[in-house]
Amino acid sequence: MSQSAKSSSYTVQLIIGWSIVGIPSLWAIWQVVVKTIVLFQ
Amino acid sequence: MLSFLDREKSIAEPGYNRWLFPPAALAVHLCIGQVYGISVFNIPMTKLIGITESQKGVDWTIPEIGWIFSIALAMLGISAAVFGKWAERSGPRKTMFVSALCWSVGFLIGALGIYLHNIWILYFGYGVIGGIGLGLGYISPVSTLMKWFPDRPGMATGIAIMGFGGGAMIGSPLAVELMNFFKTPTSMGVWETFVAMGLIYLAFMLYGAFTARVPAPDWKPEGWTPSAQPKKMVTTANVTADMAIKTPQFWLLWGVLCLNVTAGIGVLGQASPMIQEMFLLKKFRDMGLDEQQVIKMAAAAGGGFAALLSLFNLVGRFFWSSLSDILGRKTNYMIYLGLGTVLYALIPTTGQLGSVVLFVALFAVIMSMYGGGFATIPAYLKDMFGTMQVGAIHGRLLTAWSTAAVLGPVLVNYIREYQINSGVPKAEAYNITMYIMAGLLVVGFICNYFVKEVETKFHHVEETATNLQTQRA
Repeated sequence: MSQSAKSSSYTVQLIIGWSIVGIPSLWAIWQVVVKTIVLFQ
Repeated sequence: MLSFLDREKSIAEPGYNRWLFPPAALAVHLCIGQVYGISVFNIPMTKLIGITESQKGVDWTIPEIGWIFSIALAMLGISAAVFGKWAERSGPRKTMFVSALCWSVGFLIGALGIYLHNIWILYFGYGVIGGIGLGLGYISPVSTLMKWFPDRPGMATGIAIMGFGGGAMIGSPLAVELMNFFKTPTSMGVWETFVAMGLIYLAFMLYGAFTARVPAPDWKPEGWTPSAQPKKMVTTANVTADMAIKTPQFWLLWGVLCLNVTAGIGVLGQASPMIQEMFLLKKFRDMGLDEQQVIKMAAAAGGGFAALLSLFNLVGRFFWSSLSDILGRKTNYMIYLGLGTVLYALIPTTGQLGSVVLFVALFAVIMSMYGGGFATIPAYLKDMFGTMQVGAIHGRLLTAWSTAAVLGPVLVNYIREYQINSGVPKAEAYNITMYIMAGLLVVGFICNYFVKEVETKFHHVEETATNLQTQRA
């Protein structure tokens, strides 16, 4: 595989990897934000 | 057949982007971090037989269910200590793989225990097997992260250990959603949730295991060279795990971690009841609501407060650990333990001032430093003992966490019960607990103060031809 193809492959893997862990994390943070609003109402 | 799990087979190719490893680490830590959200199952597990209400003498009680968490945390420390050297030798891929199997099988065996209503099977499944998965999973990426990021070890380990903090934030609402989905007139939906979560976590953790890579032995970040000038309190030598436990530094850091965690767990358990009794119940009563509504709204707001604290716990892990790359580990712990002492002691004052904003702010900073204490310790160990067996040393140090996780709640509950039985009003009993926790942090501060560089007699010497000749001469 050429260097640029490898680099593109790593970029795709980066996006996939950080999405796999990022999406559930953002969902969890949203759950916390919603619950926190109740605290300050 | 499973040779692809070997460390040698997981060495990264030249050009590999080191930022691919943190998601692998996070995939594991976000799953095992669920253990801190296990309390969401407490009430449902007291009604497995009665369904609408707990059937006395038949259903499990809260103290019985509480042991599940204690067993899991105890096994976390024991397995990290016992298997630390194996994990170091085997590399992150194999360790994460075994952790994934143990963690998910723990859920599946636990599901069987819930289905059969046999708590001992649940203790064995989630507690023992799951606990082994916890210990292996926790240490699996740590030393590799510091090898990928020798320029920023605090930040790197902070990312992974932030994931552990996030695990409960994901696991708790996920469990609630799944229980609601699986609930029927004859089932609380708990065993089904355990099966589903076991399979979901297996998938995520195997993703982490199979994408994990270690750097080649001579790899360095592009454009980075190790500092020519030796930094104070940062070793260039290595200490083996067997030697590390003979040093005073190891036991001082053990004390630091144990005391910081004990104090943190002590106040974390009190946070929601405190805010309700000190502020929220009065606030909602003043609104003219009936008592049932007051209690319901205060509990909901108290839950919101607990969720907010978990967010600060998570953010603190990344923030404080990254900051330690600039300030140095010893200074960071002086802040956690010194500033922490002041803040814990000020909590009762916020009640006297009637300031819920100040109360929330103080607790938020305290919880951020609780998380920071966990996240910074691997980099502190690397600075003291080098990278050669830092994962194994970290594993042995985690017995401090297990000790705190079991003793902390027992200590706080005992102090509280003793005071209330002696006639101390409830609100004041919280205050005395805060002062005692502040006292623990003072002891931790003293332990950290005495940490200094490890003596050369403990350093590992590679057996080379020259060394052997010198020894024979």
